[in-house]
Amino acid sequence: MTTSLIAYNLNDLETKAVLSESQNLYKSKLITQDQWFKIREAFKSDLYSPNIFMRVLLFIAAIIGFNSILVPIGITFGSIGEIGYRFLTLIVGLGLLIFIEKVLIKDKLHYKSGVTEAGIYVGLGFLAFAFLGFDNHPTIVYPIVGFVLAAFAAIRYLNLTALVLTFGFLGWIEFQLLADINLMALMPFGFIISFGLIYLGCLKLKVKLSNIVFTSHFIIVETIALLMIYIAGNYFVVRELSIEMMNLEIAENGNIPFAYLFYLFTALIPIAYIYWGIKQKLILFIRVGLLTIALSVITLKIYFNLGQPIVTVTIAGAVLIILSLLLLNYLKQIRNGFTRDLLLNDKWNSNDLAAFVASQTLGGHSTTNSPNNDASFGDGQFGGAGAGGNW
Amino acid sequence: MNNFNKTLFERNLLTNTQYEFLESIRTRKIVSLYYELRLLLYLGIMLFTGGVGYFAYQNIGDMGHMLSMIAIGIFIAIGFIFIQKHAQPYSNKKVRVTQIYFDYILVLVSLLIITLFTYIQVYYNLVEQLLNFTSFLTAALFLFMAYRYDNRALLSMAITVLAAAFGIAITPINWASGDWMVTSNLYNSSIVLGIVLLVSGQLLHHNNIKQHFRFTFLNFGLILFYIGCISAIFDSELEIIYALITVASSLTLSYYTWKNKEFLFFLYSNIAAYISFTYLLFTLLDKIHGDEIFFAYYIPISCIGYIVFLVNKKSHFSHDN
Repeated sequence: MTTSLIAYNLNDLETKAVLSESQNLYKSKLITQDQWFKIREAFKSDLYSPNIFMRVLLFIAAIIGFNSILVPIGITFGSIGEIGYRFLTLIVGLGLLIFIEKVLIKDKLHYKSGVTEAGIYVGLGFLAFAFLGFDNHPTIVYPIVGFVLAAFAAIRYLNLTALVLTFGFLGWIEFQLLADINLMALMPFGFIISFGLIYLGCLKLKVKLSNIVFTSHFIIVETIALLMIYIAGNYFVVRELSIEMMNLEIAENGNIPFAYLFYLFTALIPIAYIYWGIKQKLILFIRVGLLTIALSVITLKIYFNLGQPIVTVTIAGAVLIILSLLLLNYLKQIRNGFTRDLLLNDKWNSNDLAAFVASQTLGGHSTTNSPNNDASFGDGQFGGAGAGGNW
Repeated sequence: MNNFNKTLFERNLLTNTQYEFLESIRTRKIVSLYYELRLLLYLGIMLFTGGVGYFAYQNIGDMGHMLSMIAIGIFIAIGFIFIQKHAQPYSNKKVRVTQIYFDYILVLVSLLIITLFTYIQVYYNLVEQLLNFTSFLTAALFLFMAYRYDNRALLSMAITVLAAAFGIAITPINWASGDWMVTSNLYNSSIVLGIVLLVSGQLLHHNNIKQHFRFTFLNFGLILFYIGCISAIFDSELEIIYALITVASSLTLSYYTWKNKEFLFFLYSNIAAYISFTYLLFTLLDKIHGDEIFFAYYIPISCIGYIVFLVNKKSHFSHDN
């Protein structure tokens, strides 16, 4: 059943995944060169999946190329009115998707080539315009159309960005539904319950669809679910949304309803994640826990202002340095199954790029005030003057 | 397939020890906190140095600067003692340091040095007089430390500071008093600095001096060079000349980076080539009053044609590269 929903051949993807994991083992020096060559021979993949930089280049060219197809077509057809243009984008969008699937994916065996991603996004974007046009629809129509298209791309083309968007649209639908039926006050609980259920559903599905091809998909869904559960209970989010959406007026010393419950959520959810992560040795929980702790500290800092934010930042920095050094020292040997050593290389890790990012974030301030962590693809955001006058 | 370790083991592609080790990772018998602990340390260093720096800046005018400066100085001294204790002797090759915090302490000390420099400048009201001087001094110090202790993050920081110092040095508007403005000459210094970095990277590489630093030199060099060229095309009055220079240099570099399979640099060069070539074409057609319909076809045809060209050369850039 699963295989018929997916545009790719699952066996090809498995072979590709084994190859990619084995390459990582080789790079992590866990297998010998001889073994890597043997594996490469045994799991030969015909899928066309270029390296990351070529993928980016192909993606940029394809996004511009596919998007601009409409211009000459539009000129050829002349003025055909909105319905005409919607019909045209429908045809072009469908044509593009069929081209991507039949020619690139099935015939040319493209897999994450950059061109396929661009084609899918542009094709679905055209379809969205064909369905929605410039008309004013009830707000809920937009996330529903978005959800259907994103879910289609996430399942059929196993696209990870579309997967994230699917859950984004799902959240928007829930938000809009609760707003439309005047149940805004239940929103935090509604989100905690629904994303809690999504998390549990994901765990079940993971057992059923246990295949290395889907590993990243499950990691993404679990992360989104855990983050959404936290965000739904976060005091800052609840308070600001209550004021914004429900026109709640808060007296000078007043507070939102159930304020203490949300303070409790803000403080306890990250701790619960970290605790569970350490207990079950789940790295995902530990990572989400660390992220949400940072968010909680910022939240609590906004409402319990102790003055001197810079002192707090400095002390927090010192505490983090000491804590991480102590932990690094403690985990010299494996303790309770945890180690400070690198077991497997992260596939995305690159010393060169890490140094580049470090220089952009650590190298003092940026003259543009926009530290660009994504600069690894080189849109050239440089300029952190070290000894400047901004300090 | 849900367990590829088993698949490999069953096909005799893994030894028993390897299989057991990989299974202990998969079943979470051992879990690595390598990235998490480093991230904490990195965040801590960023917050601490940022906090100390800003605190110092804020408290100018109050009592206790001397104390603050001395305290920062002591931190730097302690850091240097640690660095000297664990540093390996200089080598032209890559140096492996066994002490795991070494690189972090090195960066921490470097950032504290910036803090101290800035503190002294602000305290003695020397910002305007000393800014260029200290920027170059910082860049030189970082460069020295990057080579002496073999650290690419410091090399990147040195180049970043140097680029900023160049920007400041040729800007007639007083940057230090808060008027920052891109002047008409800034792109030239960006181009020159870019070329200097590219040439230095290649020369050092050829002379076997820290060959692993080449990527950083070339990366910053190309970014500065292309950003300078493209800004010049849009800002200067000699736009055609700059566009011609950009087309020629980016096509040449595209050819060499393609041949050497340096795909990030190939990416930069291709983007620069496309922008400058399209600009030239537009200007030319504009001058001879060419048909504007041409552009409606130019962009999709050029992009799609380019994709077809690249995809046909796919054996050159498979995933293994």
